Amino acid sequence: MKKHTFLLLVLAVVFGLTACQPKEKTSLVIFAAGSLIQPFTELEQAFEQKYPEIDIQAEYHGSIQVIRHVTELHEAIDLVATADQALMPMLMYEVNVPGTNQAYAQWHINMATNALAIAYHDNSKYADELTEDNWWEILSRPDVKVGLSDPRFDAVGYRQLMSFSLAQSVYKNPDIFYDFLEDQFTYPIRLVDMGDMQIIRIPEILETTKSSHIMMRGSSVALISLLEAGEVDYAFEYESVIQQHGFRLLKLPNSLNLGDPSLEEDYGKVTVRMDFQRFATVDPIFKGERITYGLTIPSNAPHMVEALQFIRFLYSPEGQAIMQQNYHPLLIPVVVNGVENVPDELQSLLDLP
Amino acid sequence: MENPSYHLFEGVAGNSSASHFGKEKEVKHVFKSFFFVLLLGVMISLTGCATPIVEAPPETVVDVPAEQPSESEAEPEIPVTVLELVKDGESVFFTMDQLKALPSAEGLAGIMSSTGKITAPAIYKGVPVSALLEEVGGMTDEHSVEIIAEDGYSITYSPSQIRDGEYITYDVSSGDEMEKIGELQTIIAYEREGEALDQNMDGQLRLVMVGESPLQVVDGHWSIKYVNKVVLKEAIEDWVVDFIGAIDEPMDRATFESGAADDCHKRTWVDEDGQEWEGIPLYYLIGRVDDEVKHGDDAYRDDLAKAGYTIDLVSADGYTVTLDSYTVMRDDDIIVAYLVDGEPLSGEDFPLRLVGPELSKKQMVGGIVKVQINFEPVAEATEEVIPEATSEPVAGETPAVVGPDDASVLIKGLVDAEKTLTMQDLLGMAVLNLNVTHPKGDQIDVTGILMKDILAQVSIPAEATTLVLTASDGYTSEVSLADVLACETCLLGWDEEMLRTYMPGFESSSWVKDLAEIEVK
Repeated sequence: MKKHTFLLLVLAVVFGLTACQPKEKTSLVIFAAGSLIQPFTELEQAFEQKYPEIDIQAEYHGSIQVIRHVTELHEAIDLVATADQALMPMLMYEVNVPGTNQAYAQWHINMATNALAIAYHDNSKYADELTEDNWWEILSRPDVKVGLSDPRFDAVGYRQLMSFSLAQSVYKNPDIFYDFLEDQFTYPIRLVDMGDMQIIRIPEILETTKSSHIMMRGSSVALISLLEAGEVDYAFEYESVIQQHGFRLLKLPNSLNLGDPSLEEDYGKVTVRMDFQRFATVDPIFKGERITYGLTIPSNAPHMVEALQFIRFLYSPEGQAIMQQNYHPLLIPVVVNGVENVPDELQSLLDLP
Repeated sequence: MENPSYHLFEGVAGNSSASHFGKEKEVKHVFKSFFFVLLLGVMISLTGCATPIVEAPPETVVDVPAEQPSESEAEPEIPVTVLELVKDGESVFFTMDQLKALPSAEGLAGIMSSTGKITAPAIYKGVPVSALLEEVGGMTDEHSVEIIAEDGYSITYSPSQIRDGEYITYDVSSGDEMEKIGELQTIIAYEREGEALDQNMDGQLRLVMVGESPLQVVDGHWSIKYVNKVVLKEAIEDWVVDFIGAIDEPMDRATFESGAADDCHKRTWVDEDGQEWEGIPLYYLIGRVDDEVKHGDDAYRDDLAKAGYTIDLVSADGYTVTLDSYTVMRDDDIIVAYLVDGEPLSGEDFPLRLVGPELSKKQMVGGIVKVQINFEPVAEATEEVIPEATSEPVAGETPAVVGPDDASVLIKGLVDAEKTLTMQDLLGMAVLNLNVTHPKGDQIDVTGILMKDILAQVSIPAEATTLVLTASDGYTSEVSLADVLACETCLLGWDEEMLRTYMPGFESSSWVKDLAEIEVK
């Protein structure tokens, strides 16, 4: 019996000491669009300072990739933020968490908007000539280096092509699209005139020709360093990103920048269609529409409480200020899709003035 | 030898049974002691440190086979394939051992994510994709390679990427672009740092670009995890076919494929050999060029087809098949095909072939390079086109409204003699009161004279193609003469204030107010 007691005492001490290890922080895993890196990094710092028991682990990808990590790779993710809210109903509402009858999401917040613009610098060729009315002509000049993000991988990539297509009707010039893109790729990007609809067709192999004045990169973020190094004269970026990096910015007309909600119908007259299937669950068709960021918590998020806490922080005066300072203000009042499914903890956001 | 834990467990389990094994007292004592020290441990932990966040351990379910077969009963192990290689619809499957038996390459591979996160190079080993493709005859410039992951994610690679390792490289420390150091090889890796890949992180196979330098990385989107399929396919071959009618349209592959999408005009036909041909009914394609309206419900002009024309389909060697518009009109079974059994046409059929159950083999012309509409009534005209008036003698309806007395319109240009029609002249012609649809969708009541009756007042030569409608303020709008002549509801009309044109089926820009002149060009 003494043996038993001694053994159990040892066990008790070991148990007690083990429990005295430094407390582990709760990891809050956030996957977000690349254009949110800067504001979300600041949010992370401020949030962790306020809630030291929580450690945010953020990853940034293209918006489609963000959702793919949830719905196709089945990773444990607590919060997702994409640069295209339409991907959420398309991909998360329609797909159930394996082994359940529960969709990956049934609500999301239309978090913020943005607008396409042209980034350039003081040494960009013809910078002093550039205006809202001639940008497409300057960008088409063979001695001008233009950075494009790859439309196969990046939302800015297909949105910039939409702007070129829309420009043809805005400037009443049917040659704008091909003046810029013709002979720039080994397999051409095509603009198909369907009368009331323009369809941009992206080939599955997209390589610039040796003589091309376009430098294409996998993402718009990768163009930042090319701009900084003066390797390219101009690049399409989101306005918020251009301002965050201090580049010169040429605003595009609202009819081209995909940022004006009143022009949604006009934006919808152009569609980008990939000539291939890249994701099993993603129909490779992107319709022109106003840029709207989406935010939601996957229904299988391991840390739902902390994710809700983060969203409440985002919409707090401090969170709003961080977004504002990064030229990426939140959409207030809050617009929610699937309002009946929004967690009770977030109902107060709906009353924000 | 007894197992103490077994005893303890059995004692607890048997607690309700008063005399189980006759050791009830001892068990109870041990049990009490255990709970005491357990409580002590919990108290130590609670008092000795801050409130812990205790997460429940994940539940683990272990499937235990009910019965293990003996060695002699065990089925012979079936090799598990890890990769499928596809060419021309035929698949070759590889086990891991078979892959490892192929030529291998080893080197450093690292990636930079689309947002700049860098994963430093590690040593990967695997089979070069180009060596793998040798198993099905190798890769040429006319091929591309699609790499597919288990979840269906796929990316297509060019010959220059697979054979020459043409990738943009980045500095591993700064993420800035840099000149490529040495050569890169695209391999399907099965080992990382001498170990099999982590199945949770990479899957059994991962596509990576290996090189000799630890200082460079490539874009992460090229490095596909969980690879399980490689497809060698023909690179996309672009083409353009000329469609010529009232307007000319060089139609390229992308345009054709857009029209042939599932949600558009796709049509299929299975021939007597069981081959499935896929394409677009010819009349849809004719609808793109029979007038200015390329797409939509009004694109195909039944009235023109009824009036009669012929269609030439010309192959690359000049062979021509001619069909008449009555045969083709609204016929879904006369198809211009671009796929057979899901593959692009090849050889003499490339890029398009006319097919369908109603056609003879001679009519099924392949290698189409040109499709031309011959509007015979126009083509056969000798000197001049004299539009016929709709009614003779003049006996119109009573006008619902009468225009200003001083209104008039001048017809000029390519006409035998300029002619001015006054309001009185117009009222003496075949007046119609119609209800027509404005391009914006409004239904409106209008009064006027058919445009073709107006044009019948002058002689127009065959080369004339266009009407220029000019308003009194100088506004002009151009329309196709052929379309106006074919239009059964287009009016030169009026309201109480002015002359104007009512042009159903035309763009609103041709609905000209205060019309002053019609110029024939």
